[in-house]
Amino acid sequence: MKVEDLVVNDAFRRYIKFGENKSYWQNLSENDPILRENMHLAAALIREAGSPADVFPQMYDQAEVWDKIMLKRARSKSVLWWKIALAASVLLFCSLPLLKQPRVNYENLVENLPKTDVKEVINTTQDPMVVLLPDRSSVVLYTGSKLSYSQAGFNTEKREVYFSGEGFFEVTKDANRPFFVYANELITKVLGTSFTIKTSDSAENIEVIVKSGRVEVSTRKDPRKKEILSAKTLSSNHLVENQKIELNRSTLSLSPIAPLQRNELLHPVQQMNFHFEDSPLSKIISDLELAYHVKIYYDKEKWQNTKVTAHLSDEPLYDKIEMICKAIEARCTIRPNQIEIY
Amino acid sequence: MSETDQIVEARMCSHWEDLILGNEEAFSEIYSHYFTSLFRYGYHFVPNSELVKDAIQELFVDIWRRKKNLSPTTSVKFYLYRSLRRRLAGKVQNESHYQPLNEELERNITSEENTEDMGHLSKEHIQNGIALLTLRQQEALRLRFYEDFDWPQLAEILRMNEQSARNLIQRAIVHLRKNLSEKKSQLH
Repeated sequence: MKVEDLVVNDAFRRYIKFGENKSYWQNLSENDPILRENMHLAAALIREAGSPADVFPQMYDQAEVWDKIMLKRARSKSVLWWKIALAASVLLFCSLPLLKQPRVNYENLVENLPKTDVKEVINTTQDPMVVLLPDRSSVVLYTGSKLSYSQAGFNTEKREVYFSGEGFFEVTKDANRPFFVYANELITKVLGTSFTIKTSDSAENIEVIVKSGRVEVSTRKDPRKKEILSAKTLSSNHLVENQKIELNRSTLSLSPIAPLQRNELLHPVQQMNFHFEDSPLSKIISDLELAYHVKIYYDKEKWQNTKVTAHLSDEPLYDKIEMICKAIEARCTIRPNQIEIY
Repeated sequence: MSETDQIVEARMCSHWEDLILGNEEAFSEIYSHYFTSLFRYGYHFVPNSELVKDAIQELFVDIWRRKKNLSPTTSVKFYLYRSLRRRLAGKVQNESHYQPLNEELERNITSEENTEDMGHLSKEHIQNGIALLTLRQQEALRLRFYEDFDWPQLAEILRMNEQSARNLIQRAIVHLRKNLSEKKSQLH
């Protein structure tokens, strides 16, 4: 077989990449020095043909290019909006009850954020990912989900984030600074709690599931919107532990608040209770690693006999780690990709 | 193409159909999935990151604007690579600071000292060997062997006929073998 045939041969590629059928390929080339040499070259090509050594991630900024695309796209869309607005105003007279609300998507929400100040996290991996916010709240972002916030959005009055996808929020308690999540047409307001939001720009419904604490849910068309956004407290009509609510995006109507079924909490971080009774430190750490999909580094030998009793629940990841560290009299550094206890 | 690649490609094709219907989520999925590899390919072709970013940006703005005129495809990746390359080729012609690709431009860099034999070609060794090829040969190797485009697709991206594309790859391999074998002979 020639090099160019080997390189594109599926079986050979699997042998090089995953070591499949090793003995077959070794036998084949044993008495055939030419084939052996071809195989070496083909293997090298499979590994290296696509990796020019001179491309580094800092040379490209995926989010920056995307912003520009959205900006230019928005410009072309505003023309279209006029047409829709005109058509809609004509329609309004004849079919008022049938009128659908215009959809608001994530891009519309983040469009107006100050470009220089905004931070965006998009989970393009296959695994959940934890995001640490300036107020020490944490969000577990599931595959394909996006979260944006600006420093200006975390001020003395309030905390604001913009969100699309599926995320589990654990919000640091701060009664003086309500925390708002804007997801499509939905506004979720909390003071400190844990809850899940499920949405996508194409979905018909948005779901909010409360694991602990109290959560107020409203829409961008709520007549009380102004009041909700400025009040420091929650209104009486809010969700509590193990309740859920759904928004129909077309009619902007909220479902009645309903109790949660046990099987609706699918992810480890939602199911685990984090109650540790004289548990080995290694068990606590592996539970946290599983729940938040983070890597926690610590000296396994030094603490191999350490047992900890800790009753954790809906604290953000920051606080959970700090409480563990206090218990074992250790210090820690916490960064999104790396947590160290020492 | 491996099975997982095929599944991904199939998912992207269905996103493509949603995109044609105006689904922004699908549009953003396609962008996120291909951005990095498009950038790497583009940069390999034109080593100017601003130019490549601009080209990718224009390509996607254009796709969104013309989405109603797009038709379903069996390979989103092929469409994107081909379109990006055309855009870059257009830009390169307009910009004087870039030296155009030239197949006759053989580069005479001697590869660095390396004592490993062909059986255990080091990353550096093989990369040096590839770097000695013409840019066009490098691009062809990358598209065919790394990005997994088939012969007709490769030919179309490179804008040549299929036989020329095959010849180009074959010449690239002959040259690469020559570049690498000097070191090998020292060992035997």
